[in-house]
Amino acid sequence: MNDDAFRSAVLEHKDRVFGYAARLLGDREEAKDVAQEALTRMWERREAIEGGDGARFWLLRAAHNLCVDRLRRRGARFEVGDGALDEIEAGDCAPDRAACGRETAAAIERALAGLPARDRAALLLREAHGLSYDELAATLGVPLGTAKALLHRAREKAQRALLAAGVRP
Amino acid sequence: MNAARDGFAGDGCGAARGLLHALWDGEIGDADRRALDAHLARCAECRAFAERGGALLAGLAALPDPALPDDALAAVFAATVDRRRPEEARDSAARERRGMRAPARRRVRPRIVLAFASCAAALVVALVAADGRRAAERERIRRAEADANIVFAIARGALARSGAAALDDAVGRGIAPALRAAPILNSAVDAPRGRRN
Repeated sequence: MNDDAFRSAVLEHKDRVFGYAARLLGDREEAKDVAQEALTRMWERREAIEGGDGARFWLLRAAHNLCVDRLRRRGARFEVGDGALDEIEAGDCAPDRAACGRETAAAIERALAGLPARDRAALLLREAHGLSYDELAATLGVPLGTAKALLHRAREKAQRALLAAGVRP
Repeated sequence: MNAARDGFAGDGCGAARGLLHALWDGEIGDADRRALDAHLARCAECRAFAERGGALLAGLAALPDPALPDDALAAVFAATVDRRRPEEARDSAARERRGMRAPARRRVRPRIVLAFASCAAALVVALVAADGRRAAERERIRRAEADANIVFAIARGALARSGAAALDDAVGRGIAPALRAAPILNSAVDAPRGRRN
């Protein structure tokens, strides 16, 4: 990855990395630090990283690992309670992803915030950021079958959270 | 739910929900899809599960990301692709505080460089050539002086002999041929050295 490719990858994925970290940590300031560190680390490893999807996967994985480190420092488990996801408002949205309805997005944000961090990570990585199951397993550090089972449970938990919040399809 | 009627073994709803996950992952086969559709047509609970799940996944896929603050982005570029030497960054920051623009860098024009190089080369060639000419001239003078010394040595020898007859004899038979042979008196400067011997 040369200088131009690095710059393009940063501009393309910066919001994705920041959003993932913000939702996983529930803290925008910490998420900013994580995004900054992940993007800077990509520069240090740029020789081994391909642009496009390679950069997207690499950055999400780096951000995930940085978030897990911070979560463990908080409480020794890859868990987190209700975070600051409600603070993410439509006005903060990147233009290309602002099509999501405000009410539905807010309900999903609340449902996500109520999930354990590991379930939240699986849902976000797979459903919001489009990682393959192999990439998801590698990012979570679990076997492929475990990643699938984890994601299926997370989907059902989030559904129940939406149902409890009164959201109807 | 009647599992046998749905074509599922065991818990019909559990099997249907497993197939729903396969559907959402894009990994369901045609036969399983038909069995799932048959179950959903009869089971309101699984149908609601399917609808909620579909809405959840669509909402997650469209979930907007917040924008990374500009100061963080600037810090990333400053630490990576725009990284500069500390003194340059300090000077730049000082100029920005004073509202000054960065000084334009002196641009070296290739044509000027080429002209200087050409002049320098010509000067070197001229100096070498002049030095060569001076060396040749010095050599010719040195040889002429040597020839003159020979002539004077012969003259001194003749003068040393006593008597006018000896002198006359020397002038007629010694000095005269020697003078004729002396290159300095006989176009010696231009004559090749070898032809004199």
